Amino acid sequence: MKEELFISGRDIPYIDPYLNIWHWEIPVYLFLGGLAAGIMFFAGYFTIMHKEKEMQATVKFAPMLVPFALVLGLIALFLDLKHQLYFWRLYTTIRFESPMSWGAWTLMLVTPLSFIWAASYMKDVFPKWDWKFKFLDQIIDFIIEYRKTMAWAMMILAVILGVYTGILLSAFNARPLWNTSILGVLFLVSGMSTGLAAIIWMSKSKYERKVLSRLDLIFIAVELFLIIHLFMGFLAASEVQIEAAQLFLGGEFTVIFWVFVIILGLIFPAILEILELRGFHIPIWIPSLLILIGGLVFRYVMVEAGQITRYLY
Amino acid sequence: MRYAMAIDTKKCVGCGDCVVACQTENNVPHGYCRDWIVESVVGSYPNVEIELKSERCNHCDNSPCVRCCPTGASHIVEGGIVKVTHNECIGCGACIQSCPYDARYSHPDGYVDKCTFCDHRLEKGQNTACVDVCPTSCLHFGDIEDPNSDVSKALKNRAWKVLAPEAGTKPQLYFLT
Amino acid sequence: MDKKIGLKKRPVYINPYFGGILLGLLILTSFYIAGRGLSASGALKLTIVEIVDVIAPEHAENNTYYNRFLPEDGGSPLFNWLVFGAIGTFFGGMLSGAIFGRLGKLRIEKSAKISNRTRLIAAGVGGTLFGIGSQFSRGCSSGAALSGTSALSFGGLIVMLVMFGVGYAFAYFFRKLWI
Repeated sequence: MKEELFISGRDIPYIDPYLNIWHWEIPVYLFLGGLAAGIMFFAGYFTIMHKEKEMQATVKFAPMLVPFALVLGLIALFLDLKHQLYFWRLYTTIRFESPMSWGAWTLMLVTPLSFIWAASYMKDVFPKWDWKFKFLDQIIDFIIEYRKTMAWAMMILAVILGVYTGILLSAFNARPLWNTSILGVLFLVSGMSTGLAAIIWMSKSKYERKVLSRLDLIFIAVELFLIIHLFMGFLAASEVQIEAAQLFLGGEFTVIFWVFVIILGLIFPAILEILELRGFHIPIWIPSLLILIGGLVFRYVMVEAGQITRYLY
Repeated sequence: MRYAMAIDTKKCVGCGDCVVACQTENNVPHGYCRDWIVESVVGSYPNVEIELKSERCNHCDNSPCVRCCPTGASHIVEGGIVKVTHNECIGCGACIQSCPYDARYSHPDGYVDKCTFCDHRLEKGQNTACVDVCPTSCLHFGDIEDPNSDVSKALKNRAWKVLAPEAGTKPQLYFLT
Repeated sequence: MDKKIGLKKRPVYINPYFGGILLGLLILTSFYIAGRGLSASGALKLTIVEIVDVIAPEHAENNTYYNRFLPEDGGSPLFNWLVFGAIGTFFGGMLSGAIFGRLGKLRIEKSAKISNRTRLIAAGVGGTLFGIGSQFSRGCSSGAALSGTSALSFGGLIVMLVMFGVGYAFAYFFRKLWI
């Protein structure tokens, strides 16, 4: 037998059997961050491609969600902090070696930008909207001039935000499940896919839904490819990572992962979207809702399972 | 001046005095510990081997916890001791997740806490609480750059190992085997 | 995918005898894969047990009926073949409906001579009776009748005969709800 016991002769329930300090707040924040990144990326992309008229939901309506998503995500993050009164310390310094610092500052840039973008389209979405002050109208007109620059900034920041949600986990090398650089790209692609699903749900134009569904299928395919390679990487790595992968291949997270993330979250919505593109009538909220739920469950499972895996003990 | 500790696994009996002494000295809240005993058993009767280690924060040279702290609350002071500034810590838990030795814990007051090599005692010229109280004297502490210190002498003629060297953390806790 | 099926105006329904054979093969597959059959009421019952367990854990523990379905290791009663079978049935049915044109807007199917409210109240009353009955008989039409009779369970056979027999006998009195 080979057994390692953590004995200290005293009651230490908060540390033994494993340190589990991140609960639902972090997966919710990662999901909302990915969703916001996805929506912002495509809003910026289609603005640069001069497709604002055809892709109205992408450019105007869906970005209305982004400020809410980011603020809710930040609230979730704030709730997770254990020393909340000192949260402002995050913004007194920038530490290049800490992904969390990167993330705090990226969010600091992205959130106001998303508010400004949404504000510039307020008159389009709510025709009766009145800014009430002349100088606000002037500011909005000024912003509308610079939409193209903002679009570029949004695209770049959206990619950084999406990758950051994955790199945040993969920077913690002490947890074997997270110790893989594929998580950065995987969470980015997953965020883009959830963003597209949200836009498709809000869209009223058939042409727009068609274009976005095609894009979504590509992102889902890439995500499946990356997930397969994630597991191949784990199974070819050290013992602790093989054990980490076993949590999903026969362990306690197997059913949740394969049923709710892969089958109901990726493969089944992809089939429904293919059918929709081929002409069959599918109620549009079904694949979108499944992709969104799949994204949330995926992040929840990665955070929970990751904290169980350890290199020692 | 580089503080390090050597734990003689052949002499540790797993009594847990170091655990209690540390909890008392540093007011560690109930349910948490800054150091702990790990009992590793290999083989089955009659060919059983057991190894007892008293573990704590390794105060690594290349500490991932200091690198990943977003506010700089985790920092290294004189002597290589890794410490946490309580009113700069936001309690995000990044350092807890990045420590391969699970040495840190979340204090109920909100900040993150861990072994500090009792630097408040070191300032007064005393030893750390765990070293002082160990009944078998299996804990050797001191300045590893000083060839006459307790820890350097313990490391000189014995085989030793560190935990998780592949993590690249360059830990300063040496286990004499 | 055959595009012609999707463009047909009428929804496509399978021949009921053929459907029955497929359902029988499905039960055999279920026995082969999971060692047990299917039951829609079973999945719903486990959902109820989970809800009670979340709202009032002590009551669920002490009550003999609920306690039977709470796993010993503290996991959720929803972690069960029946529940995942029901989830799969839902999405599989949706896929089939999408391909064969049966998927439309959310609607209430009834005779044109009664109001929506009547239909919904009748559904509620009937559903309640069915729920009580399915727990007495330890199964519903899929659990006791289909899976039970495939396992040659005498109780299942009685449930099936009585269920459809009583339904047939009382159908005359409720014909106005449908025609």
